[in-house]
Amino acid sequence: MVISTSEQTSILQSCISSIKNESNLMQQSLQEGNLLQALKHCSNFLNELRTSQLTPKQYYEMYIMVFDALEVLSSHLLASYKSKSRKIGGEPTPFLADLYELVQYSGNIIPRLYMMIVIGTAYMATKDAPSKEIMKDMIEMCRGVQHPIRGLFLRYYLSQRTKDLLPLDNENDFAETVNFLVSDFIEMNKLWVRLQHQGHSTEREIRSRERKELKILVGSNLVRLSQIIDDYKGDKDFVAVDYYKEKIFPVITEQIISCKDLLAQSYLVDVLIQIFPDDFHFSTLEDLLNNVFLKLHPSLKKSELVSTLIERFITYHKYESELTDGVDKLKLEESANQTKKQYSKLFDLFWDFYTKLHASNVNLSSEEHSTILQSYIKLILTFEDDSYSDLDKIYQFSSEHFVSKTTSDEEQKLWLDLLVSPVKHFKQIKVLLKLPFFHNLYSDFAHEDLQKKISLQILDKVLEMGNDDQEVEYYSSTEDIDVLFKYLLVLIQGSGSKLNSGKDLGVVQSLKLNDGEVVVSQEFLTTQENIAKAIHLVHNDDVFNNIANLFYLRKKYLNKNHENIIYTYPALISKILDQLRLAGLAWLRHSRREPNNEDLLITSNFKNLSVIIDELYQHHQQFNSELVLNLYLNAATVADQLKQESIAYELYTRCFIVYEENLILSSSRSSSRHPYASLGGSLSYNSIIQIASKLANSRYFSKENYDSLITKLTLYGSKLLKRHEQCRSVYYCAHLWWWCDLLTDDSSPTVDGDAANGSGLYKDSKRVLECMQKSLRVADSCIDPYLSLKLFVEILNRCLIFSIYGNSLINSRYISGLIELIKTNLENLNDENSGKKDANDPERLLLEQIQTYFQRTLDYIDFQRRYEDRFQDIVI
Amino acid sequence: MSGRKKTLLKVIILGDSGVGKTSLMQQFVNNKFSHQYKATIGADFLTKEISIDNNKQVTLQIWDTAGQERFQSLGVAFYRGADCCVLCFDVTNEKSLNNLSSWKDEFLVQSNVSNPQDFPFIIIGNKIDVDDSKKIPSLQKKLSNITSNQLGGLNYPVFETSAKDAINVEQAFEVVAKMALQQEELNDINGGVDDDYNDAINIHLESDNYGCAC
Repeated sequence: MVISTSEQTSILQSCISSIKNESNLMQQSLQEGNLLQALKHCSNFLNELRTSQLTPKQYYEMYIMVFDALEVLSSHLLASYKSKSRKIGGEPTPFLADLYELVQYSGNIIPRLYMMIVIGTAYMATKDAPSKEIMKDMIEMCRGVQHPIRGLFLRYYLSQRTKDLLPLDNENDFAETVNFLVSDFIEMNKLWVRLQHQGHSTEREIRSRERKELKILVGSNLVRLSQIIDDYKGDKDFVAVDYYKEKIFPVITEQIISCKDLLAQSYLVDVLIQIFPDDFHFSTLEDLLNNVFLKLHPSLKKSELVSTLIERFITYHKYESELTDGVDKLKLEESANQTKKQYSKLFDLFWDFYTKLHASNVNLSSEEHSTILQSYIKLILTFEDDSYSDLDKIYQFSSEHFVSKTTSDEEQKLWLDLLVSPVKHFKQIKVLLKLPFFHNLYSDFAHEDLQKKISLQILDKVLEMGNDDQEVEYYSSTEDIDVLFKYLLVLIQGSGSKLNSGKDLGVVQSLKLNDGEVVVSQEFLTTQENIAKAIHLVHNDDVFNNIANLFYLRKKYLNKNHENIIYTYPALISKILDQLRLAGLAWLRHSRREPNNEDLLITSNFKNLSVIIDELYQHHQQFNSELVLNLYLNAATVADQLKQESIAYELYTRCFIVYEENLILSSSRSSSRHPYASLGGSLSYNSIIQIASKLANSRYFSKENYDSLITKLTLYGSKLLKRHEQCRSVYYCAHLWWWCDLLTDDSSPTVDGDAANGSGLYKDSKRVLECMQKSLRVADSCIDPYLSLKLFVEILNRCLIFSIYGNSLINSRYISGLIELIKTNLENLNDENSGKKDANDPERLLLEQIQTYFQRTLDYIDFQRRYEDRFQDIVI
Repeated sequence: MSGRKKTLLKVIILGDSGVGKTSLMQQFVNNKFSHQYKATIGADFLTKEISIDNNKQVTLQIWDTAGQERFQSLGVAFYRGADCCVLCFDVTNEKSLNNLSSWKDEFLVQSNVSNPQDFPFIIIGNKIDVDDSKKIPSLQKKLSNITSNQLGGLNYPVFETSAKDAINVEQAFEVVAKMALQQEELNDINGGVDDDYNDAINIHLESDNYGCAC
């Protein structure tokens, strides 16, 4: 008989209105003092509970209404009893006992039993009532209802009504109460399990759904048991844990095991874990695992139970540690010791159970295994922060039994979290990474992507340290470097150009690498950036040791994919250079410049560093020469500061090579920049300016070497493709012959022995003049008269600087001549433009700009003349 | 005997799992507190008689509920007829605070109360005994954000309690009782008609035919 949902709804509606109606009538009768009539109405609405056409949820709705109505009856009965009893001087009256007998004659069993329970429990609430007999009678009578849904609700009602009346005064009472609850539980469980087998087999799904809804009723007696164990105060020697262990746990678990029902077992074990306190579970854990879990239905997911249980212990532990927060140190230590003991036993028990489970059930799915082991890991991480051996045990087991046995991605994915969650958990992870089986398990992952996932977590974690008062872990030896970087190798080698375009749509970037244009994802770039950050975690207070470690890192890990060195080498090179500078400065300070072992070490390290930059250059020269140039320049600057002349010279030579091989014709960047602007310009021009600015600060070359370097650079400048760039680079290079500041405490070898030079500064006024002349010639040869004029004014400004800094060849006469030249050109151009009326004519605007610039320069000369006593002879 | 009507007030306590609903009720009704955590299965109530205002005796029927959905499989029919609803959160658990409004919504949907706009709720933030460092950062601000926001609809009285140290529990439930009483009186005026007479037409004299009697 299958009823449609809409039919069920209308049945429910009519039941509800009938209950409302009859319960109102019952109340009226009660108010009128007509108890028998009231009982009749009561029986009428209780009749509605006889239905078997509703779902458990709908039945529950009715039940709640009935419950409320019966409460009214019950409180009325108690009030009547009290007033009757008062009338006869406070003696007990047989009123309720008689009524209890009376309702036995009610026709239908459901109304009869509900009324019996209302009256029986009201009776129990009175003084000197034979509670235990009434309880026995009621529970016996309940056997009369064998329809599962009706029976379950009836027994639930019994349990709800008796909950505050259970006798707990002495040992005997307590034992009977426990019996009462346990037997009610057993009967309810039987009804519940039996429901599964009722009706046609096609209704199996429906039955199963109904049973799931009904489950909380079955749990109610267990809840009650847990409560009364708490409440029982009748016996001084009573130890709750022991009582549970000896009297309750065996009976209940026996029932759970013997019912052989999947749903019942999984629900009831869950309830058992949830409602009894933690110390009860600690004391019965061994039994629970070995004698209960192992005996449950083979297809029941043990992992769920295990994880519920472990979650429970974890919550308990957190709570405990919160409790001990405020307590003094001594106690804290004591409790820590206790936890340690507790934990080690706990883990052993769980582990023992797991090995048994593994041995006894060959068909257990990998999912089950991995979920259980994940729970174990949670347990370890919560209870003990340094029990790495237990972790390793788990890793060894999973590596040997599962992960190495399969190459399927899906299978292996299950195991990923085993490695990932400890990585996230620990504040420091070096020890974790060192665990032998951590790496074994890691290596078992066949697919690169899975390894990458773990590696990324490790990388993130390593970089995260140092935030939020976590201590940074440094890697100070080659062994240490291996510990971390063997996990990063997969990321270092990973190629960024193999992309799944569908997946990475919209998050890609196009980069120019040596093999041409490649497309990489932002994610890949971030990873490479993070690897570069990790390089900075290689640290040792002994500088030379540290440098050796960095070279080791490059040789063993970073150079494994030449495509990717472009991302990581700059960080490595900067880091090595930084360490070299530290080593060199220390050496300079202490050793009075006697050549010794350290000096040689520095020299050889510079050579090695240069090899690394070379390597980067070899593989990435086409598109990244500018970067390489920068690295060489930085290294050259440091080498010069450390008085490593031959190294510095060599490094500058490398710069020139980079320039000649790759930058000389490179006008790619900024070439669209307007020639009138003095900033910007082509890559080659910028490279020259960059080298010049570094060379201008070099102080430890011999005169010969210095001359050769700056002459060569100036020559490059004079050969640039564009006139204005030639002109500008030459007038900038002029500064290389005219130092204004020594920048160092020592005297410079560049000017050593030059007796004519009293200032100790390298100065060659003739070469400066030559440069200015060359600039002027180039400027003059520009076909564009405006550009030419602009350059003249720029040169004029340079000349003023050289004049201020005492170059006697750039004298007033020279400057006056230049001013005259500019004025003439300016007038010519003004004449040409005089016919133009359009105020926005570009040439006119340009001329105005140049004129303003020139005027500002003249104003400056005037200012200097008046306040600084300079330029007196200049003719404006 | 029938002259003095006894007032039964039904109160529902809701909130996330572990915020201390059972502990609050236990503390109020039995003055007990247990450190042990026990999940609540289904729903169950305790009653307590108290006197409010000018010695008016009322019986509070306080329904403690399961915060975990899997232990509420039969639905929430017991919401019906509630006179007041207590929304609980844990002052150390921000998620439980943010979930208050969904608990409220669920209650209004399921309980079918006739005046959802004016139905009395109160908010209890439990566990104020724990160390300040563990509490939700800038709790007062977040709390007043939630309660003063008219749209969020949680502008109800707030109590901060400790079921463990019995702080403010008594006071909170006294307010609960007053609000519930007000609601109950309101229902007597409005709802009484609805309940008693509308169905009077639809009288089921003898029950329809039922199948088996067992």
